[in-house]
Amino acid sequence: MNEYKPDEFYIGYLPHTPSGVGRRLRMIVTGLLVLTVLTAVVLVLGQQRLRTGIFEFGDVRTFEGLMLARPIPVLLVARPGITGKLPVHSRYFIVAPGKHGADDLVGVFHYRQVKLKGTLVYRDGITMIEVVPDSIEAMPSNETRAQLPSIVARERRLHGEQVLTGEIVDSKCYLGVMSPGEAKPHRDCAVRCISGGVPPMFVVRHQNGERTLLWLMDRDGASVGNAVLDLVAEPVEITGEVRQEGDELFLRSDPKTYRRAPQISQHKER
Amino acid sequence: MSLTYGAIGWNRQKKIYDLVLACGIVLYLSLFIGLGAWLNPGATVETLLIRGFGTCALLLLHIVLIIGPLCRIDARFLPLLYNRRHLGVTTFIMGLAHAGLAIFQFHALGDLNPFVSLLVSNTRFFSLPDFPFQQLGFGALVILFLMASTSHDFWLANLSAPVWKRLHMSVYAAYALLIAHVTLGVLQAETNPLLAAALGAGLASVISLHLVSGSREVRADSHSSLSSFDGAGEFVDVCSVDEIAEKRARIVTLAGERVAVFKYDGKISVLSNVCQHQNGPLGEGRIVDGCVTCPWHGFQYLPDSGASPPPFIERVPTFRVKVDGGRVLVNPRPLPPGTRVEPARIDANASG
Amino acid sequence: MITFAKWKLAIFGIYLVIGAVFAVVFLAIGIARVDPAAKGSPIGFRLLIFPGVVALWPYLLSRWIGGEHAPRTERNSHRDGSGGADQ
Ligand code: HEM
Ligand code: FES
Repeated sequence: MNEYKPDEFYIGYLPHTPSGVGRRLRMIVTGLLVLTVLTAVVLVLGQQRLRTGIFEFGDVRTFEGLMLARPIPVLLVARPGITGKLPVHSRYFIVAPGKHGADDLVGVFHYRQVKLKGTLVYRDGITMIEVVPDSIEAMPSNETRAQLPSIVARERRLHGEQVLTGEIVDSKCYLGVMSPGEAKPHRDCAVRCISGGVPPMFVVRHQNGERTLLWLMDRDGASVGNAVLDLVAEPVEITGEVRQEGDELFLRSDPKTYRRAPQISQHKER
Repeated sequence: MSLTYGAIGWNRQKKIYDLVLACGIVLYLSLFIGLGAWLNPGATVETLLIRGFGTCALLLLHIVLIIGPLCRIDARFLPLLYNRRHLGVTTFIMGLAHAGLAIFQFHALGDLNPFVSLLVSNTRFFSLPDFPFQQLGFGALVILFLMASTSHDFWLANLSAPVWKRLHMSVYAAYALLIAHVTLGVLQAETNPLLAAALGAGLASVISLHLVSGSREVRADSHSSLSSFDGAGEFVDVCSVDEIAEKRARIVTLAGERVAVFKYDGKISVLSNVCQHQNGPLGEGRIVDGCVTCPWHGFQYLPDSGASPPPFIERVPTFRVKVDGGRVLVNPRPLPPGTRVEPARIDANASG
Repeated sequence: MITFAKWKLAIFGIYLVIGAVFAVVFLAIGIARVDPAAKGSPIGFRLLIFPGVVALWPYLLSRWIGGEHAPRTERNSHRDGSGGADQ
């Protein structure tokens, strides 16, 4: 079948390949193409199914609510027709385009009713808006502002001092702008984002595959920001006070006390 | 080899080669990205493209690396070697697409220049699991760039063959960097053993094929090393005339290097075995149109003088040879490249 | 750390800019002096080697200054032993 005559000799610049060499060559090329297909299939099947955060890229909407620029920029939007136990506000965290936080954009609007345009990012019950710069405009005040202190106080829960192990991520990518937006391959990007002002977040993965997301604050309640850059995307243990405001969890701790945890196979449980 | 340089010397074989290559890449990328998007709807397009291009480059690099030893093991792989440089340049282009997208995705639009960011974002040089793997990829990309950008024959001539070859040997450094890039990078998060196994299989095939072909060479050399001088103490008995096929050669080691003993048209001529182009084994070539033709890229030499026919200028050392009683006797002192030596006639000395 | 990285990149960038300027001049006039085989070669060829010239310009500059000479061939024991190895 495979009649390769040892006397056959391939010379690349001649137009035709000797028949035996040619026949073998077709087998080799077929083999390589099969290898190509196999590699593609194996590599695709071997990858983790990525969890879906959503980034409504290209879909710009308008939002109106009370802007709290500090400690983490967030827009409080009244939930229509709320009764029962749900918080009376939805919280939309605000970031800027690219790897930037929105502190500079929203600073002057602190504690004011505003209207703004932006694109939604959401995952695991947390929602974020990538705001269109210069789209923020102040609106006439309404009663929310006056009621806020009492509402916040009513919705605050203190969960006490806890020791948690998890991963520090940048909230914007994690929530959906990138997929994957966590773990080692994403480390540099998370560093860049947090350095650019995107608030860092702590992801605690539980045995059952569920996750708890906490915003990282220092003991005084300010965002920890750049202080965590060196510990991003690694297993980290944090001892701190957990507070809840509405649906959101905050972990208050001095970033100097964050510790690297031993490498645990925590990324497996998804 | 040529008189003046052209851009790309496409000929029919190279066109077929490149067409197959292009089809292979389209096949791989469309499968990887298509299947990936279908099975993994959570992945963004950027992720699929970055991963598609990166793995495609690494797959191509594996093929580039195993072609050499495969050709040493079985001459029928030689057609893959002929146009390997296009494979190499394509590998670089795929790597560049991967790296460009990765730098944009992970470093651009931030508070630092993306290239500065690439250098400073991760400084955990003393931790394996957290090692700055992207910088390893960058190192590999620089090497692949230097190789791709110097792949034209102009560079072989002007960097000079020794420098050019050393530069192109650094493909192994690039390969090592990439293995580390992947192991310390994506495999730290993607823990499916299938992926580690795929990379391991690639690494194992590259290493084992090199070991097998290398040990064959060593064995062949030890069988063909000669020391027995004839009576006059000047000529060495290398083999019998009948051991050599017509228009083919037998390779033996003389004076510290291999020589090719060619038999053609009732004559014997002996040349240094090392092709001036890229050290291809002339003795594994054959006589075509009266010229010794290198099996790798087809450079040609006149068997009696070791000189390429005009207008080409390559020359290899030659050896004095005689035939006595059916035995081929070679003087082990190499003559300056291109020195004409009267071929030994077989019939005049035929033993029987 | 960041300043150091910026310096490294700046030096690298300057090297490449010089390389690009050099490459234009070299490909227009220098190349034929360094390698006679490049005389009258097509523009496609010159574009193809452009990136390499940008990257390796100091080497080509030294060859250009050194004038025309035949490329070195590789050494091996046959060429060395023959006494008459080219250059
Ligand atoms: C500046 C140069 C480079 C950078 C910044 C870079 C960056 C990256 C990043 C961030 C990842 C992880 C991406 C992810 O899966 O989310 C990655 C993975 C990978 N890289 Fe690179 N890389 C570079 C050069 C290269 C080169 C030259 C090659 C191959 C020729 C390569 C091959 C791969 C492969 C095979 C993977 C694993 C698949 C993947 O995750 O994309 N990389 N690289
Ligand atoms: S090595 Fe290229 S033709 Fe001989």
